[in-house]
Amino acid sequence: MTLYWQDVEDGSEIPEFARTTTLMNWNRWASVNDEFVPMHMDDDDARANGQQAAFGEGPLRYSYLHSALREWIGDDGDIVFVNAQYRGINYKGDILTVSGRVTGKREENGRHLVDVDLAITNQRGEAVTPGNATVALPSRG
Amino acid sequence: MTSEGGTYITAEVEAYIGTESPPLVSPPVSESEIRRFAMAAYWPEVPPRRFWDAEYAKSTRFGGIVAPDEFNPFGWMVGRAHIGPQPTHIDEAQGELEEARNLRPPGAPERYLYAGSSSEYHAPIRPGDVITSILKFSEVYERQGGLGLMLFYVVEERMTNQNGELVRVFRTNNILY
Repeated sequence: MTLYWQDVEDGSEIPEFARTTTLMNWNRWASVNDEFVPMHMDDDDARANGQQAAFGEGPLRYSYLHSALREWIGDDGDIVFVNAQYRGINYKGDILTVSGRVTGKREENGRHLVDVDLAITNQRGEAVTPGNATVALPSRG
Repeated sequence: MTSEGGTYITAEVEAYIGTESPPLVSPPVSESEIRRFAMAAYWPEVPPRRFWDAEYAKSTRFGGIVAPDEFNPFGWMVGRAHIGPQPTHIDEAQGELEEARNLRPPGAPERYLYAGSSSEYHAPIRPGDVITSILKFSEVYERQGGLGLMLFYVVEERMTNQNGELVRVFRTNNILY
């Protein structure tokens, strides 16, 4: 179903996107992003580097922000811009939930744009990846 | 160690602004690597069909499969992108490649934090595309923080396709302290 620019309300929330993250996600990600870093695969290596245990890759969280936007805008919308800051650590079993709120709508160079504030929050309520994005949506008529 | 005057931004660092990496050119992107990337990114749920179902993708405005916006066309590049004589071991080639693409300000402290990233998206990546990436050391500044004097720098990556179209501008925000 197409999401039109006119149907998005300022201040509205985008649908949540959640993943329970373990080595099953991280190792697959390491393979496709060529990101074979021992700290993301091996608890002993992570501890030797001052972390509690192996932890997930930042770029996978960045990808989750994109996936949340795509689930919201569907095949007919485009991601124009995504920005994220990496804060907390993502340990095994963490449930990462992407949420987003529309902060503005504008027209620029003939495109119908929507600005969104984004956050990834874990099951402890910690905001591990604040961010923001802009998407372009089709316009009615 | 900071230079006299308590700054990491020496004349040498100033002169480093604008330094570019050698171009990295991908092999032609395949449908299969797009499918695998999407499956890994969405695991354990099914990714959008336009990333893996060619019949369905034909019916979309793209007219065929496209890659997820954040798709990395530069995985497993060793053997294609070596610099200098061909190494005998893949891990050596990987190390050389990473070193050649690692733009760090000269004389800066060693401890590193990956603070964040941003992307501007332009032309989508499709099967058959050959993507060129050039990195640029684009910006540097410093701040006092909880970890003492910290040097912030931005590396800007520009990806273009075989038609010279801009695909993506990816900026990483990095901290040395």
